[in-house]
Formats: sequence, structure tokens, C-alpha cells
Amino acid sequence: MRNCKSWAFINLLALAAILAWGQNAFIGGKVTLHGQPLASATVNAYLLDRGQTKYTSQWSTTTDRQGEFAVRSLPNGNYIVTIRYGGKVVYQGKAQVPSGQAETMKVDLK
Amino acid sequence: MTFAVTRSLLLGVSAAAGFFLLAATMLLVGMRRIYIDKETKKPIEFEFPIIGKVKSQTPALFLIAGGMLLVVYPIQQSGPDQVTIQGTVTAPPGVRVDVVAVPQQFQTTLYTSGPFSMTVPLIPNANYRVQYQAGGVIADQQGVLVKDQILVTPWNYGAPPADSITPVKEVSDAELQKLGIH
Repeated sequence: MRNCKSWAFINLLALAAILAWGQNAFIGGKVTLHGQPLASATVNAYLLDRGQTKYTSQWSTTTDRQGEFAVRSLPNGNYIVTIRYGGKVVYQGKAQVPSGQAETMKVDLK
Repeated sequence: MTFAVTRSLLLGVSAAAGFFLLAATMLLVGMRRIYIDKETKKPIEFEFPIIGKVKSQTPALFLIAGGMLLVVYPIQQSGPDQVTIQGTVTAPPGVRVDVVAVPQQFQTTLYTSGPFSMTVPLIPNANYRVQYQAGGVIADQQGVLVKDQILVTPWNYGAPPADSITPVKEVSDAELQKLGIH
């Protein structure tokens, strides 16, 4: 009985570690306009389902004074990234984020 | 003598008078010099349905209320003086601007262009600045001379208008709509 409990606990730990590893991806980058940083733009990351037929989750952040942004602790997968500025969509693209890795984007707008 | 010193002096005198009045009232009540119903020389009695009998010494109550007022008002007024900072911010739609008064770090947040007003404590000899923050970083700041009221120069967030930007669409609008992204 005691062995059974220990085994269950180890399994739970392993599952938590796997889940934590799966949530460790990162999308970041820099948004510029004519080469100058674009601050206060809203960056949305939409996680697509396996069949890429719909999005399942959404994350949002804004660019800082340097035009930089970062969305951390993401699950791995395929993402649609949109950037809005002044109420207008100025960028929409795709990003693929493997488990535990970072996708760095450079978006230069004109 | 400045206005602030005169005011402090008057508030101090008021508080002292209040304390004196309260102490004197207590003393007089204790000595049974004031109470009292003229005829019976006893406190006036009231009978309420739930509370029951209540004895009132009306003159004493007035004195206590007056004394309390004289004490409480100066205490209430003795906090730091305040100053109102007013200004106007112009920023593109969707840009959040935080106006921060330093050194006290009082803050007001604007989500649309327009006037702002915030009241901050007045600290003697402090150098006040109004900071405009957009995107979490300081975009501009103005030093202000603190008086009773401050009107800062209208501030325009020098961000480019969104309409001048040509959108980059690596994924089409139709594809986004199919995915449920609007």
C-alpha cells in the first residue's frame, strides 16, 4: 500500500514536470516603425488547436518604450500573432513554438 | 505672519478651547453644577419604548458637543495641505497614459485623450514633477512649481498615427476569421 502511494506521488511529480516543461515556451520580439521602436502596441498570441481549425487560448501584452514585447510560459504549439496599434491591426502572422523554446520576432512596419 | 502660520495658530487655539470646554463641562457635571431640570433640580428623564429611561442634562450635552467640535475640527484640518494638479493629455486611441506626480508617486491613468486632475499632498520644499508614462516607460516630464493649484502645459504624446501604418498581413483576414480571431 505504501509503495503504491509512493508510486502515485512520483507519477504526479513527473506529470507536473512534463506540464511545466510544456508551458515553458516563449514568444518575444521587437516592433518598429520605419526602424524606430513602436511603443504601446498590443500583441496578441492565439494558440491554435492540433488541426489548426480554431484557436484555443489567447495571451496579450504590450510593447514597451523600446518596442519590445515578451509573452512567457506558453504551451508549445502553433500560434497566430496579431499586433494592434491605435485600434488598428498592423500585423498578423504565424509563429511556431517548440516545447521549451523561444520564438523571436522582428516586425518592421512602414 | 503668513496665512499658514495664522491658520495653524487659530486651529491650535480652537483645539485648546475645546479641551478646556470639555474638561470644564466634566468638572461642572461632576460637581453637579449643571444638570438639570430647573424645577426638580434633577436630570430630565425620557422614556423610550425599547431603550428605556434616558436621563438628559441638555446644557451639559450642548457643552460637550461644542467642545468636541472645537477639538475634532482642528485635528481634521491639521493634515497635510493638498494641491490639485490639472492638465490635458492628447494621445492616439488605444494608448494608455499614466500621469504621475513625483515625489509622492500619485498617479492617474488616462485611456483617452482629455483633461486630468489629481490632488496630492503638499510637501514643503519638495520638487514636484509631472511624468507622462506610455507603455510603462516615462515618455516626458515637466517640473512644476507647487502653489494652491497647478496647471501644467498640455502634453501631446508624439506617437505616430495608426492610419499612417501599412499593415503587414502574412495571414489573411479570411483565414483569421475562419480560426475565430477577430
